[in-house]
Amino acid sequence: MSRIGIPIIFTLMFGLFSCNKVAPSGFWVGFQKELLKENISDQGPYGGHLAMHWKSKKEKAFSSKEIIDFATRNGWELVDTLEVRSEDLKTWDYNKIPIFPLSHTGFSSTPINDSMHEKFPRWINTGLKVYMFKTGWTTVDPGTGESNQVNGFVVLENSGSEMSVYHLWGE
Amino acid sequence: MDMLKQHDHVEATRGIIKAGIANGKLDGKNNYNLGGVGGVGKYLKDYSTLLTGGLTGNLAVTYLGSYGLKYQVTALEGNVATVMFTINNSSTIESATHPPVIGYTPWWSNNIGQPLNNAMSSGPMSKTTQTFQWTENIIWK
Repeated sequence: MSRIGIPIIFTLMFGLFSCNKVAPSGFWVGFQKELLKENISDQGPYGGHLAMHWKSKKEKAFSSKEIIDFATRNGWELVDTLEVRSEDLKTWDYNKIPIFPLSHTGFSSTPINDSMHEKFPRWINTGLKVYMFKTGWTTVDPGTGESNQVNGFVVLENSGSEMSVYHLWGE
Repeated sequence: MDMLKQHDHVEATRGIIKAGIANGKLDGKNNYNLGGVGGVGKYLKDYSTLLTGGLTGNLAVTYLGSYGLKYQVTALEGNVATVMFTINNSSTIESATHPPVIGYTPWWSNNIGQPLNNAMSSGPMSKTTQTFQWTENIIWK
């Protein structure tokens, strides 16, 4: 989709988003900081993505209540959940690399071979639960122009020892 | 369409297809999008055509902006794969006027984008859709 752009805003956005907390969904860096193991974030003026992972040696280190409360306090709205068995994760790969199947059309538990999935590595390989949120941002599918508001996801490993966050917005 | 076939992103997709065939994947998507820091460079390159009279960038992509790209291997014979490419692009007045950052919020869509689309639901500035499809042979190994 072509658009009217204001190049100077690019520079302002770089300055703003260089502070991780200000970036869309950047508030997650404040969640159990000591257990945060991975933090992938690429934000630009026309869209961005984020993939984060926390891990603890203890079970029940992360709870659904704590996650939902934290997300809600920061403007995310829970809309749905999905339990996924470990055997169903076998199809969640891109070129044999484990991924979380998120793209501009949204999350799909039966992923197609989409290069966008490569941006969302999956660190949890056992049974898990996916929490789906509206985030206050929209994604726009480049082919159809259709937008989607459910684009923030928390993945909680069943024992509560690992969790991941994924977010995609813009184009 | 020849210009589109020569776009860097389409060329990169040929590489993805080769790797995919080796892994048994015969179809997939590789949309061209402007997200992330890299999107700024793409944006500037795509629109540099307007400043240089088409000497830089790719005029087809200047018009399309981001686009959807699907591919499907329709035949494999030895080391030659026959691949069908399909590129889709829809443009509305909302998509044409997305400002950076705030243009990707529900507030913008509800208060600016959708009202604009509704006001221009027919005639000039209404939604347009382009589809480009071609088949080519790729040597994959």
